[in-house]
Amino acid sequence: MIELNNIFKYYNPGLVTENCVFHNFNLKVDDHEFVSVIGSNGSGKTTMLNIICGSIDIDHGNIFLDGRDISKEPEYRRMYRIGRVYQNPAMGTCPSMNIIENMALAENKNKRFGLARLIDKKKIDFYREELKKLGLGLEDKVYVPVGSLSGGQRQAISLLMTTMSEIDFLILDEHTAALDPKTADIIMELTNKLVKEKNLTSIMVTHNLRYAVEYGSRLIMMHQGEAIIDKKGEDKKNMNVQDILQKFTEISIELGN
Amino acid sequence: MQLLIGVLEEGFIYALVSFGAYITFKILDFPDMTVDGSFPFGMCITAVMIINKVNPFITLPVSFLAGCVAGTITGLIHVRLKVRDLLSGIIVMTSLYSINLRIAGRANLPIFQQPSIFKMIPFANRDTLLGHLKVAIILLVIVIILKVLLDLYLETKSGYLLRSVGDNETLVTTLGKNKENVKVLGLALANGFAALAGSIYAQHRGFFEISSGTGTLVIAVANVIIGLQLMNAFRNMKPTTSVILGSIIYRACIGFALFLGMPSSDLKIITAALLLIVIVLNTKKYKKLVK
Repeated sequence: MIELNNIFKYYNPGLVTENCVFHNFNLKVDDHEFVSVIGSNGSGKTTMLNIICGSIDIDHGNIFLDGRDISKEPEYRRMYRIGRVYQNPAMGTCPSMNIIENMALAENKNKRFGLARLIDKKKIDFYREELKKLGLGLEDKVYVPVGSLSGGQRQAISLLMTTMSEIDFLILDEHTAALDPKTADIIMELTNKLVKEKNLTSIMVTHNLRYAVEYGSRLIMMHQGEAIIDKKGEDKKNMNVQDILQKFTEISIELGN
Repeated sequence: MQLLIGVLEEGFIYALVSFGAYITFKILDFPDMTVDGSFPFGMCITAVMIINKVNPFITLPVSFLAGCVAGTITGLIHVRLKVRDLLSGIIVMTSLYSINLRIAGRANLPIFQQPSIFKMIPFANRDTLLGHLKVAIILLVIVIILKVLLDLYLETKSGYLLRSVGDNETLVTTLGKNKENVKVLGLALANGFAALAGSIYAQHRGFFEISSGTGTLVIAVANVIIGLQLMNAFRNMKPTTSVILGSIIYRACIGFALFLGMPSSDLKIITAALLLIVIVLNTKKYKKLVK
């Protein structure tokens, strides 16, 4: 369970450029929920993810992970139980290392990085099997440096890597935004499969309204640091892209654009 | 012949510093000026210990650890106090200058008459060719041992984590590891190598001299860049091997310049010019690749 309680976040406090992102923001995500988050630029979606993961500090409020207050914990420690895939496919992998090395690193997450050898030759077949499941033909490229693979391939590897260790939460930060439509579909399908398989509690920020409607068990639309739509269960199933577009238009008119 | 052996000897000693520079400059992408202080730090500690009748072999691990401490301080200044990488190194380097003077008591300490690791290893008659090569061979053995150790280390989980920090910091955080600690570890190792090289250098030359550290980083970085350029030509060469070769080639260039009759006071400008040439060639080649 992820809980955000009374979150306050200002950028550049005290300056002319002061910008309030969150003013008393609250959110509760239940176990095994798959939340899609949409909203226009600057609505606070990515800031929310950064706040959960600890990439940025909050001015006031508390963050709970399964009832434990993690507001003061550093980012790397929160990552023990959280997996994260970024918009930029380069963020999830080490470009100069090959696929095997990257996967071995990911598999060692939350374990000791001591003086034992990282690459276990016996594991290579297992890594190949896992890659085969992606259906991208990567099992034949295991010794290629990840930096020379395409964005879609890298993102697929990043996604696989985040789910190779025991995590409970998955944070997806516009992870299909930098990919072409076809690859994006493949990655999205893959995400859904992995989330279901591992029974992860997930939050996905996306600009693709179709994904937001089709995937996930709950849909949130953010606007000026607030959740202006929050639907789950049957309500969520009855939503369609048109409804959301309608809402976007309403907001635009309100703001006078 | 004498010149050639000299080139090899100096090449091997500076190869050790270059192992450190490989870690900081190449893996961590951290221009670590601390080595200009930790190299003479190793020299100074060694000279003082040997004068106080400590076994010369003991000076090696002690210098290494002392270097690690210097590197750790640079690392902590950088990650905890958020001082920029270059400046944190300069701060520690500057303070080491005074520390070295304190420890030694003066700006130079001769230890020609004292025992050294080279004198302690009795092998080969002085008159034979092997006898002449003795020092170079001992240095080669030391370099090879450390190269193998470093290679093995870089294959371990900890070694891979070190490599990931330079490659993609975000991934290290995602793996649930504190990237700051990993950086400090890298700096500690690198300066350990520099101080160890200093210790061996002091025993080889038979003195400690306060200004011997000036330009250490530049030399080490030049060695690394020359070496890695070579690696491009030979695909399967380990980076550590190329760094050793780079170090020898660099020394050979310096030796050649001296052979041509340049005064040794010009050495630093030769070093600087050589480094500039290598870097420029490097970027030109890179541009070609990008096109």
